[in-house]
Amino acid sequence: MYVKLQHGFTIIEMVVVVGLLGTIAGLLVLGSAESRKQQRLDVAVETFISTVREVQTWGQTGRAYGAANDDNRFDYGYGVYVDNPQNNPTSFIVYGGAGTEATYDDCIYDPTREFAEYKLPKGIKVSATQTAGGAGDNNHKQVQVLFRRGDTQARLVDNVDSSDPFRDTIEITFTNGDTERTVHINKFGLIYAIS
Amino acid sequence: MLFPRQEKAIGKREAMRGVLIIEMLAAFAIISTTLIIAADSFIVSNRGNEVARRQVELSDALAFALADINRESKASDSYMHDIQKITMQRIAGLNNQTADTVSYFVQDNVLYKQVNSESALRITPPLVKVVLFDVNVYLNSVVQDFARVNLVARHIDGPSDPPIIIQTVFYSQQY
Repeated sequence: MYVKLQHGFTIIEMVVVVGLLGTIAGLLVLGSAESRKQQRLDVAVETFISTVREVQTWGQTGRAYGAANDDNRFDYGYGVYVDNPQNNPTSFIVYGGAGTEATYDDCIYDPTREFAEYKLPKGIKVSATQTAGGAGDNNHKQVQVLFRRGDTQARLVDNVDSSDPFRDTIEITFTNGDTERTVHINKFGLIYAIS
Repeated sequence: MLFPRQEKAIGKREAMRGVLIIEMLAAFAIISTTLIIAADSFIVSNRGNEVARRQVELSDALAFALADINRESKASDSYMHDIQKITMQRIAGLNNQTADTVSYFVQDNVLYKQVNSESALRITPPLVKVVLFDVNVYLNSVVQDFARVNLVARHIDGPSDPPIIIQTVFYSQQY
């Protein structure tokens, strides 16, 4: 006996297949968004670390910028400045050292000696800074790292106490949404990402 | 009732069923073997890549420590050593420096640096596990006084990876 074959799918089959495909697609999109977020944060952190290392090389090898008789020449070292997280900084700044002395005035960031500004990628924020050593632990302050020519160690400053200006460590936390990574710098110039 | 073409098709299918099973078994075995070999090569290759990546990370991380020891050695004129510790005396006046005492030592697999009696800070990042820090200072009137530091380190995530071994030698500046 000839039985006519049924063609096509039932509505239940269609709903199940579409549901499964939707779930898989949703998971992929969510996973991809999370991965992109993490990737952007990683890129920002690696850019910051490599910039600090570059500045360290400039400072320690004494790269000069500007004419010899120019008061603004940057040949006493180079530093990296990160603004107070409460000001929601969207960039960090490379600046030139001011003078020959390793004093507070010669080490702090001076906007007139700004060398370059590095914009953070969209969505990346500096959410916290933490310093330790010297005048004590300080949170949410503007921080700067200066590598001076001929100086065997980095000058870490948080603008808290000019009579005891130098700190042992600085930690800067970058976030992208709820994902975060922290960069640790110590006064001997070691720089690494903690997480 | 079947149409002749359908009868022919079913007959053919039935006739081929035995052959198909053997063929399918053979194909299955071949495909499985190929997949297993491919997966194994992928795993081996991936493991090799991971080891290479960790070795690069480890070398990068150690570069700073090595550069720092060498920089300090050039700014110093005498070396003293203890068990797993080297102490250097900076030359006063060189690069505006004072005669600070700088020490390097290992504690809990971390290489630390200390200036005078200030707090010691790490100079190897957390991914580095220093397994040996061996210091020798040789006093040789014929050649020069020199110090030799052997440093062996592993990546924290690769305890069975080949270690990185660094030997650095520096001479006293006083001659």
